[in-house]
Amino acid sequence: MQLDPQRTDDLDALFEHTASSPSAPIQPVAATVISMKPSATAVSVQEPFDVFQRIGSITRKLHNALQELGYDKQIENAVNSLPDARTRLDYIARLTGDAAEKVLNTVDAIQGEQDQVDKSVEKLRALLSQTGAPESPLANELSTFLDGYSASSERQRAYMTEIMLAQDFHDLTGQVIRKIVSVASNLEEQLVTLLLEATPPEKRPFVESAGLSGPVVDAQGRNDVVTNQAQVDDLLESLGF
Amino acid sequence: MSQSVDMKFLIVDDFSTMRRIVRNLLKEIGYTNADEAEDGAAALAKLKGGGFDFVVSDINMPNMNGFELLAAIKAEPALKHLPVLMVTAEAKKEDIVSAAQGGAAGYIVKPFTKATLEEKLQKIVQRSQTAQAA
Repeated sequence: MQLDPQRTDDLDALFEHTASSPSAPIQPVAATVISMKPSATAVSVQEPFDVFQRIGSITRKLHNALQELGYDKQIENAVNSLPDARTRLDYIARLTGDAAEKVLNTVDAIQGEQDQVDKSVEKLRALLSQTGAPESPLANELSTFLDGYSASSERQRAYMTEIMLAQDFHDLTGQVIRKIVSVASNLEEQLVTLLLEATPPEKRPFVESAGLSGPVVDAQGRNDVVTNQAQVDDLLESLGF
Repeated sequence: MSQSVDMKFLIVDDFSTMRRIVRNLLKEIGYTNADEAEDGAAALAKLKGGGFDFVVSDINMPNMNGFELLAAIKAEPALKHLPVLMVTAEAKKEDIVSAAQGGAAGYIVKPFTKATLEEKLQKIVQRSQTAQAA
């Protein structure tokens, strides 16, 4: 994963700006930190900018420490990789969506063809019963064929329904992908904030769990979710619905 | 079945794939009259236009989700008689309970089968017909 040099520069510039002040250089600020300990309020009234300088100084130190340890690069790597992960997920969502759509279109087309052939078969069957030669070998053969075809057509329709229903994977995977993308966006936002503030990561909760959860990806060991329609029906019945 | 086949359905889902699937299934079951909406807000606008007999709705949708749509339908005197069948991937028990308490006519968890949809529809249609007759 490539680092964005622009972003690194921006962050450095921000820290520079936060930490430095035209009126008071870093060193005197550190001195003030010690001196104001006994009476913080009194000092802050006298020097309203002092507290910002202190925060700037602390941030600077933390930033430097993180930089020395290499954590800032790691965090930055993580931040930079998130948009990429999102793009890849969007790609999956788009491709699976296109594929499902194509299958549905094809199923529609096949069902249309079946309707046509079924109509012709019915017409032929009617014609066959009208004509006065039902006992001829050809008529018998034809009649058997038409019956066989109709039975097969019915099975084909059932298969088509199965194929069509299987495309609901797009809805289900799509919802999961959307959820992950939103978690990734959140994570990214928080990591950026983290980078800017140089706050230890364990103080920042990333995962947002509010709202509807979408399809259950792993129901094992959970008792707050149902895993099939029978459980839905049982639950509703137990409530008197 | 003759009367119920004329029923007009509104299919509410933010995924076009799922709307198509539900519409096709309804057609196979014998209900050919259906319209679609991509979220609760669009659905409510269409429902207020009148002419619908049945709502099949997803829950997790942008703008207005299925629960909000259900509440809006039940709060509207002209619409509250409409049966609302939830068809959703939300499998949390609390979601199922709140749908039932909110006045949903049925709850189907995705992925589902044609048989499940058919059975729930029949049950709901029968129930509403007996309610009308009584």
